[in-house]
Amino acid sequence: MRNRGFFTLICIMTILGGLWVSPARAHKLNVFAYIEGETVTGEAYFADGAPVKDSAVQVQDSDGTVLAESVTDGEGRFVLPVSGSLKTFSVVVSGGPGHQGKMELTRIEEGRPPGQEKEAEDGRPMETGKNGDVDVKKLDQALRRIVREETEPLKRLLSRMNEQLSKPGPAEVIGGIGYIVGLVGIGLWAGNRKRKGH
Amino acid sequence: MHIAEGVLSLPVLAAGASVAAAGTAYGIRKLPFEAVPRCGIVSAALFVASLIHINLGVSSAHLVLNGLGGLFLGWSLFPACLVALLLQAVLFQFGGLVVLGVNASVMAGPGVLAGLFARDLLSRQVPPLLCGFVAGAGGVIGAAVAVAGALVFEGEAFRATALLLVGANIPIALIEGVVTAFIVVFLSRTAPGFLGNGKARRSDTR
Repeated sequence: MRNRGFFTLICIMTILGGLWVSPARAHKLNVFAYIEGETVTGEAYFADGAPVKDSAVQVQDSDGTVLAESVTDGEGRFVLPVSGSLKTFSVVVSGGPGHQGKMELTRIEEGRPPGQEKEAEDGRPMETGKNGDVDVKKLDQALRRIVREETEPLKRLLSRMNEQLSKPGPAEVIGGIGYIVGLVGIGLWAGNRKRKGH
Repeated sequence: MHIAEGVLSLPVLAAGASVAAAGTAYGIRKLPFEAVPRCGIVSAALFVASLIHINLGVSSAHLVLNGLGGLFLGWSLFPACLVALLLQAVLFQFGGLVVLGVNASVMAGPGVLAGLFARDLLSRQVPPLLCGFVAGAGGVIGAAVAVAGALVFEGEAFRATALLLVGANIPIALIEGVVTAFIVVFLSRTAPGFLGNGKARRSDTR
């Protein structure tokens, strides 16, 4: 009778397990953000990939002081200003009661050391003459814009990969169940020893 | 029903951890040798339940199964819940190690109460369908109220948060109630020894 009960329960659980199409939202809130000059851009989503809509976003320094605040849009995206001198900070998204996600960011030294800028300025006048200085600034801005636009798909891809990586896979599920089976084994073994001992 | 890490302050975390530790110790002491595999199965079910995804229009939710666990295990739900939540925290990053105690208390406490209440109803010859529904729905609603209770110390207005959480959890409570009701009806026919503490009801079985 008892065995049949267990069998039934396992059947029910298998059927329930079949309902598992994609991992549930399960309150895990992921934040993915990157620094772009004086702004930090990013998005927030739950474990199942659903965006964290209309939620508060904060930029905090290492002491937890709030430096900038905003709200995510309908797709969970946000843009916040950060001063260029801030080296490390975290982006915290609050998605309603008890839900919070955080990502720590460190500003990587911008790829261009100070000397290089000078070089560009030096090289410029050869082509355009007197107005070179102004043109360099425009060129700089235009290049930055183009690079930003061109790397947009890459950033999206990174964001998607990050999202996929944060979802629990079959390995975790099977591993967890195996762990529980092991604990039951330990419990039964200890109980059996105790029984035989007495 | 996972509260994220970094939301709660130290006193709440400490209180949650103490409740979980006491509940787990008591639950292990109350756990009869024969019920160890049952405890493991409930633990595995709780562990996987958070991945069972139910779409509710714009929102989505997952099964909690704490009421069903309470009905099966009584106080021994505490250790089962603690193990399931520990594994969820480590493997899925749901919740977290620091908030483990609070999350375990918030899930197991109402689950035990709802389960024991349903056991009492069962022993009073209340139809199993109703008992199962009470256990399932009661567990979820209780957990929502408990989460709101933990959050009130963090400055969230208690009544508003509690209403919001309970309101958001009503659909999942209904689904959980129905799922639990069917499981209980089924087991009351095939294995009544499974419901209640086993020994008292074993004589009812054929």
